[in-house]
Amino acid sequence: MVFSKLRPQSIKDKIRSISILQIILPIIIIGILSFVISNNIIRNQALLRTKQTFNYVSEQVTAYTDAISGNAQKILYDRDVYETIAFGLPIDDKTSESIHNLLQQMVTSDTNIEAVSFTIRDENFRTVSKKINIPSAQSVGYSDILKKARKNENSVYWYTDMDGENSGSIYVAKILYNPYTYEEIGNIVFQASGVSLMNMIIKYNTSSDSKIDIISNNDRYIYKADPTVRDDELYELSFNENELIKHNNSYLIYHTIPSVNWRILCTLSSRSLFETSVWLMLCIFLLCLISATALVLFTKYINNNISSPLSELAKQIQTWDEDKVFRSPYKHRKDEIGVLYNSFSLMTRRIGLLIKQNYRNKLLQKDIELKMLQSQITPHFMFNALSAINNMAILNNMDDISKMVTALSDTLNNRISRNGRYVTLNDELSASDSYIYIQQVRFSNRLEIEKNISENARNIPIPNLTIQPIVENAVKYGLEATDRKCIIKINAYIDDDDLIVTVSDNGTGIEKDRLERINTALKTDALSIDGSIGLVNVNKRLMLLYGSDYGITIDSEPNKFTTVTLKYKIQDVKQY
Amino acid sequence: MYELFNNYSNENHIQITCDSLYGNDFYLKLQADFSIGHDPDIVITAPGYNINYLYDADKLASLHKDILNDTSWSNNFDESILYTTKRNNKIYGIPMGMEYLALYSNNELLSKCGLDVPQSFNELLFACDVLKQNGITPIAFGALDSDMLLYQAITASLGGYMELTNAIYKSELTPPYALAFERMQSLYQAGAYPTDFESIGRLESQQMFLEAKAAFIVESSSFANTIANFSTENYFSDGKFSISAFPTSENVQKARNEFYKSNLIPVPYGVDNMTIHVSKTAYETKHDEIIRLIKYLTSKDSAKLLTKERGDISSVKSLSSKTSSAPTSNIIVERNLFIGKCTEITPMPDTAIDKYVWYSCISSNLANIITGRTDASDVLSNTSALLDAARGG
Repeated sequence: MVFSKLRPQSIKDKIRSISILQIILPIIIIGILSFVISNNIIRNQALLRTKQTFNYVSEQVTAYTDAISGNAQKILYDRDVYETIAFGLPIDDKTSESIHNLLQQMVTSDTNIEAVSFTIRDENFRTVSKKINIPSAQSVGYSDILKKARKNENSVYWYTDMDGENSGSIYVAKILYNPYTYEEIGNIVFQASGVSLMNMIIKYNTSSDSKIDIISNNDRYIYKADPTVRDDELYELSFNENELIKHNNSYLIYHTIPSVNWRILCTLSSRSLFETSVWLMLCIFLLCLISATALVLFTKYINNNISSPLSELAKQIQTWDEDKVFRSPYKHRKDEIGVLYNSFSLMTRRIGLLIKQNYRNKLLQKDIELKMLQSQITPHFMFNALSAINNMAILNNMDDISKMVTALSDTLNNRISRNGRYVTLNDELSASDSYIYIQQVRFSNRLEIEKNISENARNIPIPNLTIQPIVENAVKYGLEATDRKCIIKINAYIDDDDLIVTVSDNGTGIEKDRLERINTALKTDALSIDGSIGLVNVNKRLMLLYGSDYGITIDSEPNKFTTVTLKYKIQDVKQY
Repeated sequence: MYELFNNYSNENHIQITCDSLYGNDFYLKLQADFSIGHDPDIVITAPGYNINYLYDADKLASLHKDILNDTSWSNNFDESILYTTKRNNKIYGIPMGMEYLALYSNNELLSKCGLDVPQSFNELLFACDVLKQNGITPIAFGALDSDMLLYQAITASLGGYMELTNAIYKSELTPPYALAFERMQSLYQAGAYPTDFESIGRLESQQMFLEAKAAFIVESSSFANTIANFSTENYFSDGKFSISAFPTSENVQKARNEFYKSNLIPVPYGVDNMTIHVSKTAYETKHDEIIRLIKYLTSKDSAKLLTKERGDISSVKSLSSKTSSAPTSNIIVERNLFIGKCTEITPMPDTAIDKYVWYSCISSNLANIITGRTDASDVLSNTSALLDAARGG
């Protein structure tokens, strides 16, 4: 229910709603997604960069530690030392010298090594050093280191007493086993300087954006980027390796160097990490804003150009009065809106014309029906009366009266009985003859008829009662209006596909102005001309049946003649 | 092998560090690395005394479950080869190839001197004498060959399966090892070796034989491939070379025939240096990566490459000598026929003892023993003493 109430009603509202859905929602979604994705990308990029740093630092540290621990193997690769260990041979002078030389070689060739302690079978303990600070069991707690190294079994044990700055050393301890029995037979401990390692890491700490710390497996700073940080501060942090976590105003992530179990701790400043993110978000926001503005303007244009004209058209349709003709304001628009407007305009004009025409036709029909009713008043009574008169005239040898009554009866019969729409030209002329005979008797032969009918025209079907009303008019204006002898000429001939019938009289004629008015009226929908309904009726019937090129035309000169020309179209008519 | 490692590294973006050493250096490094806790991930070498020690000390992992649980992998191997690396009923190494030791004879040189391929040690001595008289070096041999293939072939021909399977008794090597020195001396006295044999090694010996400057050479079965690749023009004709078991003495053979009631000629045989072992540390810490790498190395494609380059008899079923189709040359056909005719196969004599001891005692003193500068019994005593010391005795 709520939704149905909220449902937009007009196209304008709908377009507005769609615009909201198409613009606002996508922009919100794009904004959120962009924020999340860009944040992730930046975070991942930071992680990737950090990982690359980790890899590089890890490689450097591994190279450093491998170089030191690899020296332990070098001692055993010496055949004398190996055979002494493997086959339990006594340590003779030659072997002692070999061992001494090897240890000496190590501390001189590797600048990182400060001292080496090599123990083989408890009774033979040898130490070589190049600096004053020779490691001793007391100073570095050898027994503890070796204890832990033993726990490490086969792995190298790393230990440091460094403070993350400039003091302390790195110790590497390895337990030696007999290669056959794998019983412990000795150990080797290196004391190494961490200076070169620190120098290498310092290179990574030149940027203020990220700092690298190295923490040993015994939780000592091998290298500390920020000397103000307490030693125990970061050790308390417990989080997964390679996981980025927030700590105060920084982000922390660490990686373990597998060969030595040292941790590389990277501290990233929040500002540097998200500086790019903020800039990117601002760009996205501006982009969304520009897009939204552009889309709003575009929607407004669509509204003005499409929805507003449609609304206006709907309003015009709703309020359109059938008497009015709607005039399109978009006559020159070629798009769908223009077509709708122009079509509606044309439609209103046509409807107006049809309504007028229909109204006139109804009036004409009513008039005809009235006249028909008038003419059909007691037709049987009239026929019966005329028949009685005719019989009496015949019985009294009154032939003239009999002819007159017969002609009158035929005339009435023609008007009443001929219900078919078409008759031959001959029949139409015969019907006129009865009327003419009556008028001739009436006016004592002052009426003369001349007929000139083409033989090939006689059987052409024409609408009934189209010639007699014209003859009646000729009698009216040629005979009744003057005292002179009236001559009525009827001609009929074929002109191409048309039948032309002319009815002329030598009566009073028609003034030129009036003649023009009559002829003009005949071309229009005039209901009567000077009160003459018959002439108009015949003209209308011919135009309706054959088209506007057919009908009646009148030619006349005052006091000389009047000729009415009827133009029929010759066509096959199935039923008369 | 390096090509395989490189391909795998490139395909999988991992770094493989490969240390390749030869002879005594290899075993010294291997033993030293394990003893100081610098265990390699993978050890590729022939199984034997040293590998058994490492396995028994729990330094090498059993691959039994891995290979048997993956039938698509285990079905790839010739079963008889796969089971040669068993210890305590568990497979601990995946062999990539096998090798036999054989006597290669140049039939053209023998024919020139009216000789046939010798069937007994005496016939060999006679052939050496005749060849020498005809100015041909009889046996291509260099004392710097630390593998001492000729010595091993002679030892196997004298010992047979039983004695070489149990080559050490109370830290002492069984008699065939001592007798073999005598045979080497007999051949030396017959002028069988090149005059400069003390200063040449295995590659120089091979070159002598390939260039038809010597009539015989004891080599591994992969040498057939070297011959095939040496010159397609000269070495493809039928019957140019023959491959046979190293001839033993008639007396020994007679005694063996009586014992076995059959005419068995022993041929040293075993998985070659290309057998993969995995350290226990690597097996526990990077099991999946290691197994994936081994599967790659023992795949059919890798085996094809190795067979082509090294001429190995592959452990991969479809590429082994038994089933391999369309050998590339006549010498390969000859080799496959020889393998088919082997009636008794023995372990490689050098797998019975510690390799470090083998190289440092026996191999390094071989020339001196042959020439009589050193007494063989002293060398063998020294060898026994070291073996005893290695056992903590």
